[in-house]
Amino acid sequence: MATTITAPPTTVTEYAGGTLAREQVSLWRDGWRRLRRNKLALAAVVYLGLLVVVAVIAFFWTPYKPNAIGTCDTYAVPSGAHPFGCDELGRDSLSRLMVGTQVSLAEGVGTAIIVLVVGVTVGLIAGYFRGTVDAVISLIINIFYGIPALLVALVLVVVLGQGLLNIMIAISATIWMDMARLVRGQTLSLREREFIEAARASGAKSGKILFGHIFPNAMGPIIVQATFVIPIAILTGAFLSFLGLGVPPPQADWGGMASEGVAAIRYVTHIVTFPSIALSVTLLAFNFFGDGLRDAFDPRQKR
Amino acid sequence: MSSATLPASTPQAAPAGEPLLRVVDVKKHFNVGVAATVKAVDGVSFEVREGETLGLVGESGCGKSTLGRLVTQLIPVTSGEVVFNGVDLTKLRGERLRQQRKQLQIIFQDPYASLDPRMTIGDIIAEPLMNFGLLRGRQKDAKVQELLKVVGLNPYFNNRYPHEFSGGQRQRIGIARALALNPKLIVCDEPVSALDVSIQAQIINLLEDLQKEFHLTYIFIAHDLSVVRHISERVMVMYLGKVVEVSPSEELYLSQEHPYTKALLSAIPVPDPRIESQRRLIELQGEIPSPINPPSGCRFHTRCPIARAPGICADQEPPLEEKAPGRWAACHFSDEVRTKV
Repeated sequence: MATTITAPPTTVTEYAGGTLAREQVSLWRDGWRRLRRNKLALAAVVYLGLLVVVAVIAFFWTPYKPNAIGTCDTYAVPSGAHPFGCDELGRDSLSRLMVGTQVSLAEGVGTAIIVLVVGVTVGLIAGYFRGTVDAVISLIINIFYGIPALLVALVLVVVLGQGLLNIMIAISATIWMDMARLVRGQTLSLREREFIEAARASGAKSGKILFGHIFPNAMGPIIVQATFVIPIAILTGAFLSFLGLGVPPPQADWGGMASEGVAAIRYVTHIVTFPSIALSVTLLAFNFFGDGLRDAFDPRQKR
Repeated sequence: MSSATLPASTPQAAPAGEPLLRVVDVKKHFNVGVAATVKAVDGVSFEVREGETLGLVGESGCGKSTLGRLVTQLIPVTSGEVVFNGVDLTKLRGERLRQQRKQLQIIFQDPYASLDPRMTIGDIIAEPLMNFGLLRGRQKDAKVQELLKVVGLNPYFNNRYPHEFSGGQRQRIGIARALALNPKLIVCDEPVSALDVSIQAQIINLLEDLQKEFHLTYIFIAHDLSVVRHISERVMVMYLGKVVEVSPSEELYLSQEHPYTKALLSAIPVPDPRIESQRRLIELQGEIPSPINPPSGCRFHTRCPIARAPGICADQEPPLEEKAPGRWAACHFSDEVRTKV
């Protein structure tokens, strides 16, 4: 039955519309074009790129063994051999800082992925099926908003144990709600659009409508939201480490290093200074990048 | 089945055999707020024969688009039957309803909103085929290019996005999508009202050509009578969720049985300044009443130039009756429409 159209009609001799309205651009190309014009966001992209390079290099090479005690004098100030100085156990701070990059990036990106999967799924279901399903999900979201985030994270880390994955799960539990709410709202508005009705009329099932039509159309805001999750996750991870509930020692991470530095702040300041700077600049870069993405994906911008 | 078994309000006599579509006393009430319902469609019955075009006309808010969505079962009915090809669609759910969609397609009013902006037009047109797993790979691509050709678009536009096309071109894409499954009935929901006048004619001509070529049946919804005049064999006029007049198209333009139809027709400007200046316009008083609390009796009596209100028009709802062969109207005083309106 699908092949009964055989010959093109003789009535149409010429194609309607030779000219096209606009140059062909996809969502991604368009977004990247606008992002490039934002100098601050571009600088952030460059910095984050370098950070990833450092994290990868640290897997194979660091100036000293990051966990080796006594590579130099305890509390040694920055010098030629140890540009960032040494900590209270005589470990090289630069090497530890490099390895710490891995932990922070893993916490940030890993959490963002968990939040993406959970938040998008929950949000799509709540927004699409509405009714009782939505009411229950919204209630759960509001309960999570009601409990102090740090309390949830602390309890979960204590219950689950101090592994990197457990820390990511704990942090995700405190911030998945924003993503779920965003996706729910997007879904609620998108499901009323005429092209969704058109998809149903052409026989699309619910799964196809959710992941084939609604999700791609909500992609811009979702990516932006995920980008903002990363700095929050890194900061929360560092804070947990600062409280002694982060990745277990002797693994180096920025929050733990800052914590040790604070303990030694009466003698030397460099131990707390460098991880703090690294943390701050990274958070700033992710936020600039997120802002840049948000502007780039803003549908109202047509430049 | 003959029309004798249908409710008295069913307008036209059925031809030999079952009509393609039989809508029986369909109602759609939307709940709005506490204890308030919008009676968007309130007891409508009609039939559509295979191969014909039924024009559906009325003001904004009269329920014509809602009726189009009830026929295609994109929204469920509150009550009534939609018998398509001998199957009552209102009784079907899930997969069995989905299978019926192959036969029953819809073209939407807004060609900007009805195409997914994130999909290429090739994917948009192929979607119905994919949803039913009909064609794959090269065969599917060939079918898409064929459909693009059929609606008069360059077949090599298939990897472009909707925003690159003009309104008329997008409407052609919407038509190609509706054709992909070789449906029997297509509901055209104001397919040209978002387009420029010059483009409107092109799209209407295209729809007429496609009807001949693929033996399609149309329900053609429009808000003014001039658009449906040429494409429709019969025209059905709606007012506030009710059918007020059904008539063969050409006869309807010569004489009317319902004052509302007459008013609608008088609103069409004549493209000749001499005739236009002589012409008498029937101006309806006030706005279309709220469908939450429609007027009693005849729903049109609050704006009708010949209504007896208070009187029979405010008290009794006029039934849809055959006033002349093939001409149905719901008016207590249809004899007076020709002389007094």
